[in-house]
Amino acid sequence: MNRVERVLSLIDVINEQVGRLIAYLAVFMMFSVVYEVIARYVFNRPTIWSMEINQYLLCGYTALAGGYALLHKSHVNVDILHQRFGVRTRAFLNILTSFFFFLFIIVLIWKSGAMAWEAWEYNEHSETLLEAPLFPAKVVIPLGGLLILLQGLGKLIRDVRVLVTGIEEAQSAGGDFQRERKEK
Amino acid sequence: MSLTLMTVLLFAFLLALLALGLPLAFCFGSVAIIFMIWQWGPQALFTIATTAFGEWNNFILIAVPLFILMANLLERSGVAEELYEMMYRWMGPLRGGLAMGTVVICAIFAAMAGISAVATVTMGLIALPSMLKRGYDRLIAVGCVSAGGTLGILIPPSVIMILYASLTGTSVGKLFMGGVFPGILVAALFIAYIGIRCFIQPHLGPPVPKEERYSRAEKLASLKAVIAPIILILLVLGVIYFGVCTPTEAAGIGAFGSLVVLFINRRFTWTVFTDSLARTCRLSAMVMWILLGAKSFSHVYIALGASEMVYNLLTGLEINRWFFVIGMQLILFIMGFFMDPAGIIMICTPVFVPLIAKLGFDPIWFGILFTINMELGYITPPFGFNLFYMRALAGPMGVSMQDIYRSIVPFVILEILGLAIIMVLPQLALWLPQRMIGG
Repeated sequence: MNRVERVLSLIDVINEQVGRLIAYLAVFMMFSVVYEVIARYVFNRPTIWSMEINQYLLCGYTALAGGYALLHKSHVNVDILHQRFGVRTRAFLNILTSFFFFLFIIVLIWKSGAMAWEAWEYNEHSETLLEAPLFPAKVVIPLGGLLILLQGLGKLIRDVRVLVTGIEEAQSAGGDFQRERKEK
Repeated sequence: MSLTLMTVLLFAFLLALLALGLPLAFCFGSVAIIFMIWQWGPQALFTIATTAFGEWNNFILIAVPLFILMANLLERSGVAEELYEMMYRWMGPLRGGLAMGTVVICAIFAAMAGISAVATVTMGLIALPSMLKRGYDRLIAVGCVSAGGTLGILIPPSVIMILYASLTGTSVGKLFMGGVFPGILVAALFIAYIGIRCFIQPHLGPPVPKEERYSRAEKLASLKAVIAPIILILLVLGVIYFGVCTPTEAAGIGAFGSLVVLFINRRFTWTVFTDSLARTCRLSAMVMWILLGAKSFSHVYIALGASEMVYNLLTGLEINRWFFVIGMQLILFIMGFFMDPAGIIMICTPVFVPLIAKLGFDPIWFGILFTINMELGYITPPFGFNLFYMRALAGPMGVSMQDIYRSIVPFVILEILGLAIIMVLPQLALWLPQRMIGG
């Protein structure tokens, strides 16, 4: 493996691991929601934390899994024109449109980073009974932005390589649909 | 620059990026950013961060990963196999019985799962080979699975409806209840079609031969298959209908219930579990990222004043308000050929629904029409999710892509008929939401 290859697989590994880990948040959401219902109807004592904590978790779940979804080609696109082109043309178009991807993600990191910084500086808390600190719920957005940015860079490098060599990597050609076909 | 030109540019830019194959989330987001900088300067970009925080912390949307998890767990729970076995014993002797039964199972699954993939995949794996082995016509066998699968988004719970509700501010619970009778109607249309065709042309769906039929005792024994689904459906939809729980809580209960079913059926393995979690995570992330992009886009659309301009322009035409409803359905139908339903809903609701409300139509009713139209999006080529699944599942059984395309034609017509019926008889959609206690 050369150096580029190592960097690419490192990016993949990072997002794969983060995604696999973050996926477990759904288990917590499920149990805490069920607990909330039981606490309300059986013990007659609704919790003040369940829904609010889950809201923050949803934010982390979504933000941090962005790169993981990109790794697995789960972000849907319109590929009606796309699939008609040759490998090289497709790589070229991906490189072209990646400008817009980076624009979006960089603005997101920049602005949500500023928002998280503000929450830290002013020690913001939620205006609920829980008075939860808002910094953790806000900082996951720029962090998730960095993860998806990283994966986007990896994708860009791969696309450039395809454009130069004209060969599509076998392992990168599997979105959620294709994989399912192989599984069955 | 005039507002009209600006609005045209906004959408032209978006469509151009979409056509180039950039994922939807990034198309919406980047177009929003470019117009923000152009119109209001870089300080307006803070909206992107506040939108991300606002949408991703949305209480209603916690239901999205939970319902998707429920669906993914159910897919591996063995419930589909048991239901098919039951249906085979009871309906096998009828002409076309297996295909009709497949639609019934799809409807039952639709009442447990919020996405269309579950019924399509499980029935594609179980019912399709069984029907083909029994000498069923390919077109009927393939068509009933891909069309039946679409019921998943119309019969509640439904992730598509949650998205519609969060974009329009309508009640998730009411939308869910609104989908019940229309869902049953569409399923009944499918069943009637299959039944009538197979009755007239028995070779399309030959009955199971007499010597292979089951005794009454065996039939009754198989009924235990419906216990788990009935409990799950009552738990999830019942608590919403009676206002005991919010849809988000119902989603949590449903996911938990599915996990229990997985244990009871001895289907729980660590791999199944982590795999379901991983798929749930990817699909939810995809939906939530599109939502961020789309919300940012619709902020720009509204702030530009384009929303009002479009309204004034269209109402200035002085044509019958029904013309708009039908025109919108036509646009949705055409978009369904090219785009993912989640994407269509993000583009169209901010434009369509304010107009619909101002024209005096019920947004809940329109949401149901919208959802039926999105069902069509799943089965119309070239971009129809269920067709992709069919290509993957039926392809190895020797069913060609042409067969798959041809198989959906009658079902598309039936679904359009269903759409027309709901349009003419809004009470079919609105009766139940008006009666529910919660919401």
